[in-house]
Amino acid sequence: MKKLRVFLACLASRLTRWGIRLLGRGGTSLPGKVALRICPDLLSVLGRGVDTLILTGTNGKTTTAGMLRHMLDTAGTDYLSNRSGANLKSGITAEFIQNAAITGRMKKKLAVIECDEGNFPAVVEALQPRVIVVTNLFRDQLDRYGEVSHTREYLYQGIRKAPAATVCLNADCSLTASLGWDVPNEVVYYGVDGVSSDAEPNVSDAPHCLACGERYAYRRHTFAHLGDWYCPGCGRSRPAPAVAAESVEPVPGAGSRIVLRTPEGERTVELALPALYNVYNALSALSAARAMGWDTDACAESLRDFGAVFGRMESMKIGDTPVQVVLVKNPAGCDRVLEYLASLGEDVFPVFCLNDNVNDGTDVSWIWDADYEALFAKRAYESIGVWGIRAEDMRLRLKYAGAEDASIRVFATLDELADAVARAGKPAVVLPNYTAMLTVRDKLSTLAGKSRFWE
Amino acid sequence: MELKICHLYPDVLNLYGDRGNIACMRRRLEWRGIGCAVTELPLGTVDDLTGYDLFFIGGGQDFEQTVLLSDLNAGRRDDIRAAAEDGKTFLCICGGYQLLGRGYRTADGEWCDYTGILDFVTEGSRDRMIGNYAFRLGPESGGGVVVGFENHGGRTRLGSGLTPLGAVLKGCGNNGQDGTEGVRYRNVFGTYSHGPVLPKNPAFCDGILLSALVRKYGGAELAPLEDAAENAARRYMLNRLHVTE
Repeated sequence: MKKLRVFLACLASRLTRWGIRLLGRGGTSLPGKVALRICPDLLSVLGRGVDTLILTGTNGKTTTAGMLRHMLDTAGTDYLSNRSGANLKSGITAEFIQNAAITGRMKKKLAVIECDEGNFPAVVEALQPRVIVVTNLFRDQLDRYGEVSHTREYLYQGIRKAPAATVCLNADCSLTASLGWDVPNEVVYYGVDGVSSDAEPNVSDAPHCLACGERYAYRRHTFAHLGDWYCPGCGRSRPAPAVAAESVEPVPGAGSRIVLRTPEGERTVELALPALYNVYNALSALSAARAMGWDTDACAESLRDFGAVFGRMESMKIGDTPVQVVLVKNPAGCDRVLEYLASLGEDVFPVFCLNDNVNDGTDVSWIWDADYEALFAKRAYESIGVWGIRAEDMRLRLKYAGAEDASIRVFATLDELADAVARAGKPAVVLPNYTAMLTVRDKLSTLAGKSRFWE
Repeated sequence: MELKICHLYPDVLNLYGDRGNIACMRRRLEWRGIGCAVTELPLGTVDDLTGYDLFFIGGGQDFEQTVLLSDLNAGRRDDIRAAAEDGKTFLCICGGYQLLGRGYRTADGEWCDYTGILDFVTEGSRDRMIGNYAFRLGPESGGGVVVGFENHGGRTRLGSGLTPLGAVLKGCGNNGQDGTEGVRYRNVFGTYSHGPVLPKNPAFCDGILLSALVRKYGGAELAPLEDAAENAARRYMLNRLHVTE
């Protein structure tokens, strides 16, 4: 009876998938929803016997998962992974079905899974991963999860459902590190040691000690609320990281050179992606790889030629116009991207895209927490584009941040946007949030001749 | 002319783009050549509140709201009450609004004493009221339509002597049942609308600024501004909610 259910679920899922493809759509979660309706515990049935690594957290999931896949690709190891970014339970189930025979027997023995925070407890319970990685916790999609402390609670519940898993946590993020306080799991912390920012910590996402309520203090700080934090009240502090960046040296135009320290020794890592937040992504990926028992040296070496994951910081060319698409979806991530945009000078065409679909978070208030003021204090642009369901909110935000309202062009359609980018006569930098990225990237990459994301 | 704005508890009550309200008030004063000084008073700082004209209190997470109570009990509660009774302008959003009331009963039945400055009570529930919404301001607040985004578990019921800020047109407002939204007492404006509320509602913003200017200078006028971007964003949401002005 069980076998029949699994078979029917897998079959129905495939038929749904073919149907969607026939219509030319990129639906990645419906086949999983259909299958789970028929066999509710399908994911746990399929996941049995698959060695699984699960990543979650607010920012950096997709890039970190991309690094892990790149490590496996470089080593020639076979695995499955939800690379299209469908990271709800339904999308993850669909990915497992894709890699199973119709009887439910898995063709792959290793899985790298990126998981949404809200779905994390259910997915962890079903898959019983060997390793869990949490990248960080910031304010994101508040209307879906309520508040960041609720998100933390989801992660805590999830970790408790897999007591045998090794958990890799960001020591520099007080919210993430606190997940290790009271769990039976083996915990490995990672963090950045050798970087100190002069800016005041913007700790608004995590100002107070979760144990005693006292305000956190910092011996050293990297960005947002990340750094060497401690609580003057109860004495809790950043745990010493086992996997650490001893030093980080930016390599202009190329990325970063990191001196990596692990219990096994020190080595240099050449990371091909720029910006400190990608150093954190590399550390999460490397601590996960190490916890999985992969060859850490080879994994570190492979980051030398790791390019960007789709939409996270991707370059293409439309005619003679270089175009970069950089995903922006919450204040902390946005501020990093705005710093990057400012570093490019004024001879660029910035386009800000804002949707408010469920997968974006239907509340767009966060754009007022991002520091667009810092950008317009430094830069004035001849022309700025805005597009998306909430384009007018974006325009208003930019006006109050100091942009000249007359320089802002509101594109009513994607074609108008693409046309303006193609004719910009200067490099375009497109900053979309999640679902805006899916459509914008689809449009621009078709013009540039790149593949659609689900292919 | 100049307004001195005090942002109370920016370190704790700062969710959901609240600082956009400060940015909006500052810009709309500066564009008219009126001075604006913003002082942030984080938790635990001691300061005399009588020098300020306008107070802003934002929303926070449940956990962080309890952190506040010791600070309020250490004397700030009385200073806030005195300023409100003195006709000073307050804009209080979501958690900051709830703090003005007598207290909060959590979904588990636990009672938390708040400031008791105004006679209302908030009850927590696990079902959050989330989404874009609209309400019409009462006549004492200008009578216009305000669009915003609400996200709260708390259901607020005003005491019989209190006037709501407005009447819900779309969405939930104070409790999803009696059709009221927020509170208006003297120059105190309390609302569940974050979003942030002011940029897309320039008339509401100007009304709040005017209340503080009139209190301080006896009379004031605000020159009209070019509000094309404000009105475009506002119109989009009014259409989407099927609400007419």
